[in-house]
Amino acid sequence: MSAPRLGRARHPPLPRTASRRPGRAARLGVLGWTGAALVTVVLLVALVSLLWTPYPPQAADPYARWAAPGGSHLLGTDASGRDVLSLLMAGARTALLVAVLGGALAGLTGVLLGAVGALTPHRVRTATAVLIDVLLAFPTVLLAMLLASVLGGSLGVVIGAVGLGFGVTIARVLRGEFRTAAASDYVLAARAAGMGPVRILRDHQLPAVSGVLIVQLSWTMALAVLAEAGLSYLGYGAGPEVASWGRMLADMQSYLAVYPLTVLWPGLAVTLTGLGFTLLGDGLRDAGGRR
Amino acid sequence: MSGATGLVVSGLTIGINGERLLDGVDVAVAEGQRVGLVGGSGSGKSLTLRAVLGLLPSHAALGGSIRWDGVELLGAPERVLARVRGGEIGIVLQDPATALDPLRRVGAQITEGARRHHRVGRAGARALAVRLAEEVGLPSPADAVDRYPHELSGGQRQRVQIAAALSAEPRLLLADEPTTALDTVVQSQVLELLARLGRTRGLSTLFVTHDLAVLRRAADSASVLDAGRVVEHGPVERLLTSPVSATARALRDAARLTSWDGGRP
Ligand SMILES: Nc1ncnc2c1ncn2[C@@H]1O[C@H](COP(=O)(O)OP(=O)(O)OP(=O)(O)O)[C@@H](O)[C@H]1O
Ligand SMILES: [Mg+2]
Repeated sequence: MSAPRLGRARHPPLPRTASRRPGRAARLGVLGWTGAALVTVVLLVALVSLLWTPYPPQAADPYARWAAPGGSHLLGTDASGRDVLSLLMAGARTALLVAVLGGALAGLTGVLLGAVGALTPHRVRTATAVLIDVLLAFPTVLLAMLLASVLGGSLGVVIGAVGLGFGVTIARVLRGEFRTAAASDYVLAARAAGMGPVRILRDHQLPAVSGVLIVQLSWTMALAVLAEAGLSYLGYGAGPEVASWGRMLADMQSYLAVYPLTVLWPGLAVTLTGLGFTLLGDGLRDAGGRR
Repeated sequence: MSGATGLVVSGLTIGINGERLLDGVDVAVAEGQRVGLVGGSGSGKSLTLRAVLGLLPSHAALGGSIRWDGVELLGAPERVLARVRGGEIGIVLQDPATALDPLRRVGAQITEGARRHHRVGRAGARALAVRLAEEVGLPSPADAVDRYPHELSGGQRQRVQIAAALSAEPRLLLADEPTTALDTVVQSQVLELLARLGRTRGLSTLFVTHDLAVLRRAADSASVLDAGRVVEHGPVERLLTSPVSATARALRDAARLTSWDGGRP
């Protein structure tokens, strides 16, 4: 005797549409796509610079100092006769290196601190929340200067400062997201199915915060590009052997009155790259919000 | 007593932040029984179910006893609770809109319990998901398991929850107002499904509701809960025809208003 299957026969089959994860539709919007395009251009330039630049970026030609744009040096040369275009291209590499490694470190810091601040027993959780707030009040630039005074200025210091400094900001945002996820019915259901905390974190809570994390990472990478330029400009970042937009600005600013164009290029590069990551983050946030 | 099979909750008290939310609740579900727990909003029905699975917030103060097959679950180590959760006692939550993870495919959610308790592999999990989806009457089961919850209707999502609760083959199903969020036609279908699963799988159920008309189809006997106390207990038919407590009378009258079969005893 087969049990009656009420309801099954009456249901029409599911409509044949492609199955999609919510919020993953590519609806970045015009500004988001603009950001994505800017970031892609910078990435391509950085990749090309690994294989080819018009001149070796650090090759100084004492007979071609302050060469005017055009001719054999498309964007001219600087005070020691280095090709500005080559420096700019190699500078993209440095900016992206800091953005990617600093962003990764910040993401890791943010996820770890955020999870500990949200999912541990009451006391640990509260203590972590206080720690996050204290660290948040500590300026990232100051952190970098502190690190540099101990370790000496280097890109590693910039990456470390960006990772820790901005990681705390991410932690504060993710803490709230983790709390929301932890209080959700579906996490209750997962616990009721016998799943342990580690699996629930992996299968439910990390995916739940991933959308917000991606947006935060994009914004963090914008800040990382600005921080690298700023810290290298101040002398806490890239050494003289590394091509950096911040260093270019520092090197050229004394000649600003005479050769204004030379400052324009690295300034523009920093601005457009930072803007690219920011717009991309905005676009991702809006796409997620339209879930 | 200690050898008894099934669930025996006795004298359960729950206090949160100094407020006594449950006050000496007794409920028992023996093997194969269908027991109801009725009461108005805020009477402590959901708290009782969560307490059975040890899923109350850690700052809740608990008293009394919750025995499962004679084993005390109150204050039991996490290891014991993890075995019982899903593997021996499953739960279906009230709101199908929030009980499923929006970012996880239906099939993966259905088999979570099975993978946890029965070491089902990846391929086995998918086959099991399709089989369970079919058993609970999801349309196009092979297709449905690859969907995300937002692509299903409320009734379909509730079927997914039921499939998930069954995946590790528990012997007792806790149902927390599983039909309240559904329209009456779908409600009826889900009740039919639960009744069939009870028969085919030999499943006991503890069914929570505030609706006596629903209770009548889902349980044979029931306890009436009011402000954290059991005020009445008896066969469902008697609760409908001659309720003693004011709470049960009020629930009966409310059911007469909303149920299409009116006052038919
Ligand atoms: N985590 C909590 N902290 C404090 N109070 C709580 C908590 N959970 C529930 N309560 C309180 O306990 C009481 C009983 O809640 P419960 O969820 O068990 O009600 P219910 O009978 O399931 O009601 P409903 O039919 O509305 O779902 C309510 O007064 C509620 O405010
Ligand atoms: Mg409830």
